[in-house]
Amino acid sequence: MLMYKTRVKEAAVAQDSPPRARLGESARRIVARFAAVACPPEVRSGERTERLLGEFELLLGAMPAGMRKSIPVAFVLFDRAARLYPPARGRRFARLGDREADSYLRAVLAARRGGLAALVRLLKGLVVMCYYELPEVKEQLGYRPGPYIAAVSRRRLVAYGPEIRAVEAAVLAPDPGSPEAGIFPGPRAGG
Amino acid sequence: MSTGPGIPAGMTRQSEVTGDLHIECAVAVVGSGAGGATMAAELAAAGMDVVMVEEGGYHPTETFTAEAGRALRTLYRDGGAGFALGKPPVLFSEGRCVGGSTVVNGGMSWRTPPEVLERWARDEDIAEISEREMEPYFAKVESRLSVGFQDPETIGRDAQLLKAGADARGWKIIPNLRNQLHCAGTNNCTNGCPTGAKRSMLVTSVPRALARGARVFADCRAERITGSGGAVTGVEGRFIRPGGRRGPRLTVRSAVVVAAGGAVQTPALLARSGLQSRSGQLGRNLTLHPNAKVIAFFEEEVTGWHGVHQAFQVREFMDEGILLTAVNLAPSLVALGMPAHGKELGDLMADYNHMVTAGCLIEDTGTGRVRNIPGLGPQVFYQITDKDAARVVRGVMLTAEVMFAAGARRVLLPFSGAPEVHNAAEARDLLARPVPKRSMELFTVHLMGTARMSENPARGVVDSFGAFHGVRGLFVADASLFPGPIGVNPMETILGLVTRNAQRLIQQRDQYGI
Repeated sequence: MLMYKTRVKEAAVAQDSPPRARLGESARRIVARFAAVACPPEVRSGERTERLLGEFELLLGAMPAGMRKSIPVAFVLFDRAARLYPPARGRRFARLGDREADSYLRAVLAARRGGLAALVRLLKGLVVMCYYELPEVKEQLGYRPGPYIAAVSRRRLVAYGPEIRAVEAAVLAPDPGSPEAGIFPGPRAGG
Repeated sequence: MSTGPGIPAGMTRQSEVTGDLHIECAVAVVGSGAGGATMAAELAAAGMDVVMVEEGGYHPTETFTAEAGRALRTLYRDGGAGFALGKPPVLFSEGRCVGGSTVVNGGMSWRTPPEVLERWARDEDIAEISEREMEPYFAKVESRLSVGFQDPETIGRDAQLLKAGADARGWKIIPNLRNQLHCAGTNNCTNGCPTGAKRSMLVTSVPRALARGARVFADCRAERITGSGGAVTGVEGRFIRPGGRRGPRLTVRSAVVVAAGGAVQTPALLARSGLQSRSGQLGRNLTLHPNAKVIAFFEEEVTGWHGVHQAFQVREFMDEGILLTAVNLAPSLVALGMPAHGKELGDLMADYNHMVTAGCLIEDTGTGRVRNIPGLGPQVFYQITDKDAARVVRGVMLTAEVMFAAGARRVLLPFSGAPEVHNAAEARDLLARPVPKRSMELFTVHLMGTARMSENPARGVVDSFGAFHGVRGLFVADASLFPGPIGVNPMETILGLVTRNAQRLIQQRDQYGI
């Protein structure tokens, strides 16, 4: 990897994500149940749901405080509101069987009140996004960017290495005619 | 050659700060994106003592991977989940890291269209902004950032299909100009370029500024600009500890402050600093180039993640304010907007390698605003106009049409509840019916105009060169400057304007004692 010959203080680089926002037990159960309905059936295999929840908590941790707090609340409301859905017969979403849970989610997504549908679309989007971040799911889709990136990066350096090194070095090189007042030296005005 | 990930001299992160810091310098720059880093590098090259204050972290090239979720968490503000409130809401993303949005953008580098510059000069009486006057500044940034066309071996199949479709329709399509140094075509632009080929500020103007003595304080949120007697006196900020906890204070004393946090954060910072514009335009006049995307499915394997992020733009409909392109997205981001769940979602996503994600960018005519809401911070409000909604529908129809012309078997539309369409006629028939605004799924990464330039203080927040009307020593240097939308990717316009404005400030440095 080419890098600038700048003065470097040896230190570990912070690469970490913001800390995960831990869901409460209740919200966690609801999100897990939501994932089982919103994601493809394979989400139930292995420990995918658990790892999806881990991704979800990491994503939540990166969100602004308002969203971090309101998204779990929205899941709880979605869960409780299932009681008003006649086929649920008074049960919460997390307690519904697969068929009823799916039809409840479908009904809410198709709701005429656009705001409600948009909110649940957002929740669904966030959960399925986390599912498709799982490495084995990407692998199943045939999405393997790591080896591809490595190969084309090598190709680039082989084909253009000297030019790349020259341009990168120029970033730190003194400007022509420096010390200078910008690239277009002109009379200092006003002073 | 690389010695492994390290911290360049002059860069300070929160983990290295144990107590409050007091700094004196000539110029404090808030933000290290296209505007902030360019301004800092120009001024530092002129011998000025420059300090950059950046809210995001320092993430060097070596740390970038293809994990979209990780990139959203580390390189973007709010995990990439910004919302402009309206019907429909518009999802937007901003970079928040050293290098700003240039670290996560697609690298499209287009000069401001001449007619836009003419309009700005005419409507806002902006000085020295003709195509001829801007030429040397654009030439300079293009040279610095290696702006050019892609090497042919990096053009992916999704881009080839877009071109094939446009050619079949007889539409004008052009190769993209990008700030790239022999881009490898990793298709990882939005997660941070893993080779450094994309000449973002992270690998150009930031190290250039550091090499000329500038200092960068990363992980530090600028809370307010301080002032006294009608002039700025510096910036006060707080380092951000992991988890968002407030860390030590940073107090910068400077004769000049440059606000370059982008069109959402800049007006918010100015407003919470108690700065007002006589024009009443601070935070207003927001335009955002709404985007809408379609997902087209092809019989052949496309493998859209092989090849450059965006290789071509269809320019046939620029007169209508519509630009079309194809942009590959990671599976998680495609799934985010899929109109399906459960097994149906799995079946759609199983064809990921047969998809082309294509979209339209709309030059909008309506405006929104940014407001500081107590307890919530800066909030964006934007209501798409009827005219722009009609443009979105037409743009989507044209995008579907170009995909079908390229051989797509079916296309998913970005309107909730819309069925998939199987040919161009079907798309035209469907979209001839009214499409409710609330059903539109809109996205943007181009936020502009919230501290617009005008020589008339009654109309603009800043003057022709980014100086805040009525506050000595305060400058704006980002897309907030734009008096209106530009219809093309805004990065080079920011770079060109800021390079020009930096030159002006250098010429006037004695006025500020810097």
